[in-house]
Amino acid sequence: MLMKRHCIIPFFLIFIVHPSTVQDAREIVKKADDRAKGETSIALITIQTIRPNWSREMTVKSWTKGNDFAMVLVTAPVKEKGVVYLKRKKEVWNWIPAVERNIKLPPSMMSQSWMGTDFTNDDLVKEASIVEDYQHLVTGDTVISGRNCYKIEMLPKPGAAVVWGKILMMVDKKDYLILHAEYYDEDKKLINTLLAGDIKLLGGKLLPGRLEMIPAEKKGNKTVLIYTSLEFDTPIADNFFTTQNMPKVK
Amino acid sequence: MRPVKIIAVIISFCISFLLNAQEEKNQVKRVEWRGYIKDLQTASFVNSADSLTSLHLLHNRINFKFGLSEKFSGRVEIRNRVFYGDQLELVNDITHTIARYDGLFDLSKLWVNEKTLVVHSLIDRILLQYSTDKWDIKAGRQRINWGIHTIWNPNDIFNAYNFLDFDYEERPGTDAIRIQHYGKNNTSVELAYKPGKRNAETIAAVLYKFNKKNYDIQLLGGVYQQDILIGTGWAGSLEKAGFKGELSYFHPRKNWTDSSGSFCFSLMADQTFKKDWYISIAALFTSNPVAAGFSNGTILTSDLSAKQLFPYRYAFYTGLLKVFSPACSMNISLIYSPEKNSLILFPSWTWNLAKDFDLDFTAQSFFAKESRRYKTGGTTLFLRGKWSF
Repeated sequence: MLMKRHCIIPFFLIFIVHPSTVQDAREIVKKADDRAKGETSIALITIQTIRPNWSREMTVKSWTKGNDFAMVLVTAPVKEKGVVYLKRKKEVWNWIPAVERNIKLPPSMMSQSWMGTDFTNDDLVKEASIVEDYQHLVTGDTVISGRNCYKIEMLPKPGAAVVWGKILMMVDKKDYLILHAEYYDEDKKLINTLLAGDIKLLGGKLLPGRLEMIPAEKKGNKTVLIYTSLEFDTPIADNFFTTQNMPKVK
Repeated sequence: MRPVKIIAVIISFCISFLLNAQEEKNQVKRVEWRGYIKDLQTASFVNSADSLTSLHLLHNRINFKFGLSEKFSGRVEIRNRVFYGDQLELVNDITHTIARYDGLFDLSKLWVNEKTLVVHSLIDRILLQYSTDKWDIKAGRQRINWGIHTIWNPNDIFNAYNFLDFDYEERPGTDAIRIQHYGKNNTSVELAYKPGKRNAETIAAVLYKFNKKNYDIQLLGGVYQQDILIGTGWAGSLEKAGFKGELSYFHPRKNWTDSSGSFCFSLMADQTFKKDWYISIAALFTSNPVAAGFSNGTILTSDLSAKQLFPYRYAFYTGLLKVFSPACSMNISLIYSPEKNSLILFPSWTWNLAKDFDLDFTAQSFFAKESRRYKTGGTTLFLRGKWSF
């Protein structure tokens, strides 16, 4: 009963911090990918879950190192303040301050959706391999918010274990920012749309400060991520990402 | 470690604290606080509404955290409760149950003790903590939670958790000293010592934790009241399911060779499924169960320990959780024991009505076979509102 509410956040955030793993004509993909990644990252993020009748807001602080390590601390709402998630390679733990204990989460959490939001976890976990698992093709140009973009179509490689049947991505030509992405299922039906906005200097790089995930089928639903701050390449020791450190992070 | 040594360690830390404080006197001392107010309405009945009794509990908790220096911090947590309702009159000696606290020091106050109203305050955490990258030392009233399993924790020797007691998730604190040392690769060794008022109540044990092949593994051993204890616990996975277990073996200290020990063993598997379903199954084996059964509610207040987590030899648990949205979820737990075909049904609904306000509805029903008839042992309904601040 204790663990369930945010089970999926770690993966979710890993994705958020590296939002741009997807891409081309591989070089474009890789450039956008490298841009949003650092050796390490420290971020303050506000997550808004918006529904027609209600909305909830949560703020978190996250630390990542490569693809293997991530720590996420919930800082608001007050009820969940101090809850921590740790990912080490394929293992995930959840620290619950009220009961002062750590719960190891089952691997199936990785294939679950992050409750109530419009991100499904399957996407997120597999997002990391999208460069490898998809064939990329530049299909044209487009303009988004006054920025010239490559339009890239991505289709899964034969036999690749991926969720999406097709992804369409618009990547800014000058700064290699993913400004827009559409996720389609196997029947090529639109499922989710990702919109990036509020482009500004974050961690010394020009990056979108706001990401919105909008499900196609559910009117009035969306999930918004707002980066309050982002730092790259601050040295973080591996032993920061330990279960013992979970109660201490702040 | 002997108490004398522990005291020596504490003194040396206090000295180092004073020395540090000199260097850090320019830093601002920080106090953080937070808490909640809960209102729990309880209605209990056995067979018909005629037997309905009620209890109201207004419950406030305030947690203070003091940053004394970079390495030293302190915590004080206070629990205030106001009880009223006819169950106060009906249940024998309920005040004793409410006000009871097995600590070294009495840090509680019974403000009002009337037939229809009881007001009680308790400091259930008060501790000083010294922290570095590699060490954590805590002295005072604290929670030492060595459990891994989500439902039954034979390894949780300092403060066993009763999952039916859902309204006191923090659990009482233990007056103890806990020293933790962290090694490489997520390993740690810790020593915890809880002096008892009498020698037979003392608990002192060492815990070693490490991670191997994606399994968290822990080994523990020490003195558990009148027994010597050894135990192990793990948390890993089988395919996509989580797989956890805890085992503790207790052997009487006296008459070592002539006596036989007892053990307590729990297992569990859990998995999430599409559309936010979560299922967990668990089992508990207690080699020497106390014969007494449970009637409605008594398991909530009875003596529960790592050695005795359930009144019967075998217990099985199934839990089903469905999250409809971040603001609404449902959980159904079922506990079954072949002994008298005992069954506990424990469903709950949770709503997050506003940012800091939650409402939940919980029921606990007990059934068992008695005198060849299958009977209800009673049902309790709980409606709870919680405002966090």
